[in-house]
Amino acid sequence: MKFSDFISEKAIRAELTADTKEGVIAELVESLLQVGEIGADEKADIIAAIMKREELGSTGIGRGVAVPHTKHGSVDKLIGTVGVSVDGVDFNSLDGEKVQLFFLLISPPERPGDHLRALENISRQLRDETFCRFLKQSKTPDDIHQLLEEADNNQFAS
Amino acid sequence: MQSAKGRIASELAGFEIRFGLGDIAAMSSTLITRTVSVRNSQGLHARPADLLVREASRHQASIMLEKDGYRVDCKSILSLLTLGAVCGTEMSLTADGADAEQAVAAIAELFDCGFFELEHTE
Repeated sequence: MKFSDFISEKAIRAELTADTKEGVIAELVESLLQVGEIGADEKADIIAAIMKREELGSTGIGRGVAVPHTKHGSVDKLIGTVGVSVDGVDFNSLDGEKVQLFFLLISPPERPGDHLRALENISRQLRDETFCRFLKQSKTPDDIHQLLEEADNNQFAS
Repeated sequence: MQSAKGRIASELAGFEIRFGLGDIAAMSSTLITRTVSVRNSQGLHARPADLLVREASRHQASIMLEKDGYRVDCKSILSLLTLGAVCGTEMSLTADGADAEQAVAAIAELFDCGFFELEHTE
């Protein structure tokens, strides 16, 4: 599964402004709302669901990356977005470090495979230090989008 | 004059004192392998991967999971997520080190109970 299969290009956010976990999640969910990937009435519910999942265990998987996510009945296919925070946000990560790179995923309840394949793709690409670093240094959504495209074309980790 | 047995015994005692029993145990390192399978419907997503890393990190042994010839370090969450192991996936769990047996037992148990996700669907 490539990034282009589930990352909503127009919802990508460089230079996130929030500095709390919930703030970042709200900002990213809002970006999906603005491009019509989710409905306005679903926004609060989705944010709550993602926060609830965080309570089970932080999705800050280390190395400055987090994959906040939830299943939600309102989506019929996996949708996601990417956000970069220049200063980093305290996300209660496994390694105790702040998170700068966020991949937010919302998946339909009955398709766990899609979510898993997205995680697989994200983690494979992030094993490449260069890809990771370039993403964190990205200044515009276009920069980020281009990097994701290059990753999809196997220009980073194989 | 010391008997041969006494001489050997005191040599061994000296050996143990010099190196410490723990090091002797470590010298006879064990390699244990077991097949594990993913039983929970959601597969090996972030939460199970987190559980695996936490458990693996409690052991000295080097612990690897192998799927179709592709091996990953069980102490690295990013590596575990690259497996994309869906429900039903069978993998080879290997631990190498002094506490390899305990490591394999603990990790296999996590797989066997479906990472505590078997009784309910999320």
